[in-house]
Amino acid sequence: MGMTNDAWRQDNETKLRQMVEQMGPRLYRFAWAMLTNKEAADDVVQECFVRYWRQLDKEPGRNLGPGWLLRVTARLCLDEGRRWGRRQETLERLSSLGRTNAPCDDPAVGADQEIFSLVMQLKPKDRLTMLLVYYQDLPLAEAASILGTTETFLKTKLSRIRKRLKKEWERGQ
Amino acid sequence: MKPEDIQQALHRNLDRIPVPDRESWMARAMGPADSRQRGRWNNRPRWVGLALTSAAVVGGLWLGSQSHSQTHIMGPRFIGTASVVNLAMPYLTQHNVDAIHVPTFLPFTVATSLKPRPAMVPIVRAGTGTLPKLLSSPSLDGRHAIYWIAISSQGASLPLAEQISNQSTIARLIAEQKPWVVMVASHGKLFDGGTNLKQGLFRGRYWTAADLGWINQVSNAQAISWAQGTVTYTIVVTDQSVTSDELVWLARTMASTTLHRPEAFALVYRSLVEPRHGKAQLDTWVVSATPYHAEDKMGYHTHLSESHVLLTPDMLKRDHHPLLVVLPKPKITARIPVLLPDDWPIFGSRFYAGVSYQFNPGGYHVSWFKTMATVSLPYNAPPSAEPFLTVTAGDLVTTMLAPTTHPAISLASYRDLVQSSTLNTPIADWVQLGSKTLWISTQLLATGPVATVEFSYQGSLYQVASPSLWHALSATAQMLRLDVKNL
Repeated sequence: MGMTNDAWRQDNETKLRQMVEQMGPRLYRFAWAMLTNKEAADDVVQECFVRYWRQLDKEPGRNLGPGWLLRVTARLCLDEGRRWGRRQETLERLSSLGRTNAPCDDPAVGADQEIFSLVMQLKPKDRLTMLLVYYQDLPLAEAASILGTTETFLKTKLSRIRKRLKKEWERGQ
Repeated sequence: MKPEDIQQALHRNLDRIPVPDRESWMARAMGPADSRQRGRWNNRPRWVGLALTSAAVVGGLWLGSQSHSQTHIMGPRFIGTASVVNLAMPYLTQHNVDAIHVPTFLPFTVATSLKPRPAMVPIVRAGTGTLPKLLSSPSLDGRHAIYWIAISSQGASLPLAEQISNQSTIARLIAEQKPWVVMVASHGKLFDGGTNLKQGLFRGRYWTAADLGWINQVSNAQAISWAQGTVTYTIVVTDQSVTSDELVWLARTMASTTLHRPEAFALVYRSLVEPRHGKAQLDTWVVSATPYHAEDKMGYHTHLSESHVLLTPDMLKRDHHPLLVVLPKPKITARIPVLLPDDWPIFGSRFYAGVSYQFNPGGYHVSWFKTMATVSLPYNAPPSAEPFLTVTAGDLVTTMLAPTTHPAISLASYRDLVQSSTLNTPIADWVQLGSKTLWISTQLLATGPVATVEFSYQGSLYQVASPSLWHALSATAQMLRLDVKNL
């Protein structure tokens, strides 16, 4: 015997609430790192949950996990980023960084900030790759699937980006 | 770079970003556009879609036409190496102090195109003081020093400049604080080609008095005599671009000077401001610093005093609270802050550069500091702060450059020597850098390496020191105008 409409809705609402609690902050920070604008990041996360809610309704039996949400967020961020244009994004990102970074005298933390800023200066697709693997801590296979590539290619790409970052880092020292 | 370093950096920085209210995500996700309404929406008649599409097109066109008039300024991006200093500061006629003004170079690294590039920000002091004592005999009768006066073509039209035909006119212009009058002291040859301040040197932006048809009858056909000891102006540099050569030249003419008190100065940064819509605009920021004296404290007020583009409400709000910087006591070393905009995008974080003047007689010493911390005000630079680049010129107490005893080695060979060096053992040698031979010493200390590049230029000895050999070399290369591709 199937569930009533109200029961379905109740069930979906519970799932949505769990996802918002579990994934909301992660997705928001991930979107912020991609877009470097809090309003845009908020919009993206909102849109992601709207789609999640819709999908629950459309495919009740399907298991929509964190990976699904990350995939949607990543696509939305790339679309949004393209709309803004990379240059504009860079400017906003840099000014946001100034506002976000708290004062810090600790050299180790200072190094973290420099690495962070180097990652933030990467092109959107490269940044996305780094964020999925090193911030969202996804297994390579899952990150590759979200990026629409193979695990081997992803490994090579990560290695290249790390080398580039290292070079930039050394130049800045 | 290790993956765990990146992981740590990302988590440390991103995990502290505040997250908006989650309930709003819930509410909006389940809000009016719920599944039933969407279902009805999907079954809408085709004409509704067509009508809405047409409205969207018309609306889009309207918005497109409106967007041209909107200029949303996002922030400055500093360009190239064109940072310039403006010294059009007050002519303090009533002061009668035994002090003259120290021109200094502030080599630092500017992030342009997201890649650090070396640049020079000069600071030349202006104010009142006695004219500097010249190292060589002045001229003919020993009662005159040779001074140069040039007029900026951008500040004054040629007809106006041509009116400057006598000493009293010049004195009047200086008294009126005309920023386009350049006046410097000189002794002997400035450049190998002669002592003429050529148009080529200032890229045609300045005329010398000789070019104006006013030739003074002292020793040098292109020079103007000025009675030594007269309390008068020293240097004023216009706010136009000045090349490193010109600044080195200015610095050299004033190398043997002493500064006794804080004096007003201003910095001019040329920045490229990129609006959300429309073309980028070149803007000029004038950050002025005026002396502050209260009770037993001395310091500077600094504030952004001019920007043609960026005087947005935010900026004006900030500007209502000029920053106060208190100089430490004793006044042996004063750290003068160079106020950079909040969003100065060097290495992606706030950048603070401090200038340290050591008031040793006959020389000067400028240090640049980099810090990741926000500077709190009033500011006193911590004594433990390590400069990341220091330029020293004038009477150096270190060993003078000895004649070369063996051929200079290449930079690559020198680097190899440094790499194989042991702790506390300095590696010093003559190194060929471009067309110049430089004396470079590097010492690996427990706290890190210190590289010093020593060179002479136009008879003066310079030292550029930094924990980074690359920084020291790039600053040196720029001062010497060496085109060195691989440092």
